[in-house]
Amino acid sequence: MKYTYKTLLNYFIDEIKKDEIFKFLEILGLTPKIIKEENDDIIFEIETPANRPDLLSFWGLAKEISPFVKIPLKNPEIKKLEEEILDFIPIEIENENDCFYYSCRIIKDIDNHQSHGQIKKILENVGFRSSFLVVDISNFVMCEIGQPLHIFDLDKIKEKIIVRKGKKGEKLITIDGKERDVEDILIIADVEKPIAIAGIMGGINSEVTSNTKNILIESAYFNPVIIRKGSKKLGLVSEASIRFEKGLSVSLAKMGMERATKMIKELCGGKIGKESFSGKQINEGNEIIFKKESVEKIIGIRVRKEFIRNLFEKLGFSYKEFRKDKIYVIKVPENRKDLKEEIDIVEEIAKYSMYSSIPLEMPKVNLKPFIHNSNYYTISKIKEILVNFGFCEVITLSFISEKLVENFKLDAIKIENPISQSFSFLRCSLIFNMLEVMKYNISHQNKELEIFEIGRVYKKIGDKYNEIDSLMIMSLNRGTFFDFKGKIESFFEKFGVVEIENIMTENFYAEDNNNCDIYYQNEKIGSLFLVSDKLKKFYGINEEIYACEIEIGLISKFINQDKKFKKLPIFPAAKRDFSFLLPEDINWKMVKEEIKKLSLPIETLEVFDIYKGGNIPHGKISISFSVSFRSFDKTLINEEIENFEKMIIDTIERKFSGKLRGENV
Amino acid sequence: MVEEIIKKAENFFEEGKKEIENITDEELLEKWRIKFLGRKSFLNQLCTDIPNLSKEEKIICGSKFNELKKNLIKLYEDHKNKVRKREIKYNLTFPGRRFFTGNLHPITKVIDEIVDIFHRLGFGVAEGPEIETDFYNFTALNTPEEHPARDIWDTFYIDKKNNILLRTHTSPVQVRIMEKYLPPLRIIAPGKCFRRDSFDSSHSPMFHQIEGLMVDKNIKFTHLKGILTYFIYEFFKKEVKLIFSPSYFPFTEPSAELSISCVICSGKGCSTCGNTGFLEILGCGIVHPNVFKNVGYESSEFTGFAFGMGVERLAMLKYGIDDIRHFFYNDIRFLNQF
Ligand SMILES: [Zn+2]
Repeated sequence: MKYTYKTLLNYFIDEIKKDEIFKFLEILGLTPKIIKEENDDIIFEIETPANRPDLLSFWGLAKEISPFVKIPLKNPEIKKLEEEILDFIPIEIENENDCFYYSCRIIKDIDNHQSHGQIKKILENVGFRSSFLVVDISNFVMCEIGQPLHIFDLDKIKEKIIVRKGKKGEKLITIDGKERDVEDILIIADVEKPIAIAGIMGGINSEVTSNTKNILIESAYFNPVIIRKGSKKLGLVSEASIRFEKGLSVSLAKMGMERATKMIKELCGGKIGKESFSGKQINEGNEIIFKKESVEKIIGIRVRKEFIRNLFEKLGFSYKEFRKDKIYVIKVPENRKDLKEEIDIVEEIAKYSMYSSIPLEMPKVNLKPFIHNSNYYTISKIKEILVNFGFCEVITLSFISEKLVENFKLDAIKIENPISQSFSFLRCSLIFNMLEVMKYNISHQNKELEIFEIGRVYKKIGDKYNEIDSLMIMSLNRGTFFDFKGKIESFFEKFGVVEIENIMTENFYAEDNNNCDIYYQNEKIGSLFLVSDKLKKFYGINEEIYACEIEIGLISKFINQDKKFKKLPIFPAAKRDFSFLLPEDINWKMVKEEIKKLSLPIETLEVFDIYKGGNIPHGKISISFSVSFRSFDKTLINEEIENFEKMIIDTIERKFSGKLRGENV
Repeated sequence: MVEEIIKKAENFFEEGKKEIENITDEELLEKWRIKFLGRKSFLNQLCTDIPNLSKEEKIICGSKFNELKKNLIKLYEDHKNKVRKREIKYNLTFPGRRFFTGNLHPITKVIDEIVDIFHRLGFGVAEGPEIETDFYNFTALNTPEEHPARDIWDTFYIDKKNNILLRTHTSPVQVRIMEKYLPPLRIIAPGKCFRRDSFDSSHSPMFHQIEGLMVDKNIKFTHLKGILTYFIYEFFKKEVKLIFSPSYFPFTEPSAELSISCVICSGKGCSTCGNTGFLEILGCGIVHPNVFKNVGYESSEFTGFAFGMGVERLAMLKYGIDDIRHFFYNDIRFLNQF
């Protein structure tokens, strides 16, 4: 809300310097944002807390800073005026849970004219559009004490006021000129028609015009939840609704009525009619038991009783002290609905003690460790290794577009109220937004990239929403597929995951069947593949992209297992290289297994070259590998090694129709 | 006779000593070597006279010859180092060949750093789901249905009818952890959060938050100030000025907002701090008794504090980044800067 310095001063009996006022507001966390400085006045705006409708008023803000100042508060003049005519309008409240209190009063034969002078100026300063004086008075009273009022043209109201829910098909054109469907919304109606949306906005059919002579002032206390729901449903927020939805009070409504009546009488004349009101009896002004020691216990400071007394009195609390001012029984003002229990009082005391004056100290605590199974540490280890291997971490938004989901018929979770079509589903894989990153970088001439992302992917299984920690690694123009695969294998080896197995299978994201699933100890832990053309096409990428997808949950147990020391070998190893021509569709895993079956003292067996085309016959592939023989109890002699070689050559030639290319290349 | 031979030998040595001084290249040195140390050197020729000498004279002569020969060899060896050509194998001033280095995302770096600071204070990491229920995101946090404070968090719904939403803050992790564990508790919970904000230079519908919670007997507001002050000094690595001012969150009371003197302009006023010289860094407060009630804690027995901060904002301040979208565009030229 906007306030002005001069207007605030109206609620103190003497002047306070503006720097003082601004300092106090800062201390209270009500940082003023200066809008305009003119002459000796300042217009400023404050974002007030959601639970403090009382601060949405000049008087309320003045009251809030009053405990800091010696100068007493000057409350708005409220005086019940005698009725001059007997006219009144009967009220009917359909459901007292929607409207706790409703009052209205007729004033007849007013001098209706456009607003002018002080009121007009104040309202314009704080952002209202000035109108007829009676309407301006109602807005001014709202800005002054925080009670929204409404002024109807009495002659447009038939018989009585009914506070009820709108019926099916009922419509009302509000004063902003828009037609509103008011079904199930709390409205004010007469016997024929809706005339206002309760607590939100009046109707055009009953508004004050230049012809208005007789008016009806409304001051009410509506159920805040009903107002909030209505305002949300209509998408209509008004100065009235932001106050009502935070919860006002009966006493404030009564005060508003008297204040408005008095001002209208003074400024527009007219004859005051009888006030009619309806509502249920509610006890307002919470009673709270406050123990002084709670401040020490929760805040860590001690406060003097003089401080407490001054604070309570300035804030308008009535209280009794017990047990030598150790305990207070407090009754808070009706419009301070935010004060419900002891902690609320403790907070008030902390605020006015000034947070900056509260000392700081380190807690002395029980050193009980917190042990909780979190993937955080596992993920940190994975990230560290990938970074060491030259991969760059990316973080993408968790959203994917409707277009993508439709194009690939993805099974993704939909967001009911997305901000746009491009962010309307939750990702079911990291691949999409990572391809977007690839595209972005390619278009910025960065065409050699190795990136990874670790994040959650979202899947609905049955009626359960699952979040899976996923890892995706991608490579573009940084060597061959086997360079990439080598890095992935080395990555696994870092965690002691050696001898992973590959099985070629289908993968939705892969080109044709260029995918192999990665298995370790007979469990699938991920997949390695060439990203499919149709996916790349969607992102406008032509380059070949290699990818690897791993589910963190499936590898975390390997990552976190302790490593065991293996004794270093004593006897020397003998290394022999082989190069074979083999059928193109050879399953390397089976070759390895057959060699294994020979039970030779093989330490390692590694492929170092795969070659196709050139002088290699069609349908064949050249595979070169190196074998390291080592015995743990003796030095192998040449004859033995030659024999091992023969056994390997023989096996491959016999079982896989391989052909040795030159001896020991 | 002996004296004569020795004299000749010594002259020969002096001659060699003199000649070698002027030699500057390897070729001449080799000639010198042949002349003075070769098989047919004058010294060796003189040796042929030795057999004619008496036994005593042989000994004198032999030891003198050996001494001279040794000295000649030393002359040669010393000089060899002087004339040797100095070959430069590489021009070492050429630039090295660079290899690709990976990098952690700046958001990860900031999260890791914050977690590490709190780790040193005995806080453990906790996590929770991103797809949350209304209960954990709001109700348990003392923000029941239709609470006006709910407007602070404009929420994405997955299934509004069944109260399924995307968490708007990391605070639900507090509730989940307190439901499972009794105090004393010290947790730090980093994670992604979602709010219906547009994607522009200062907003993102997805962002990262870090939540902290400490619950024990006798935890006070003074401790909250102490812990967070330590954190800010560690994180910004300088003594920034801290200001705690009153704020409002339904799940803490008293609530506070922590501002620090602007790390960009040191409080003089700049565009980052909107010329105020101060930056809002995080929200915090004493855990509201209703939150304890909702998780089944005896609120008179325990007290605690909680705080939450936006990672992107801290990263932007720490690295001087001016647009939040950089974090999610993942331009490699951006990522490689950190
Ligand atoms: Zn600044």
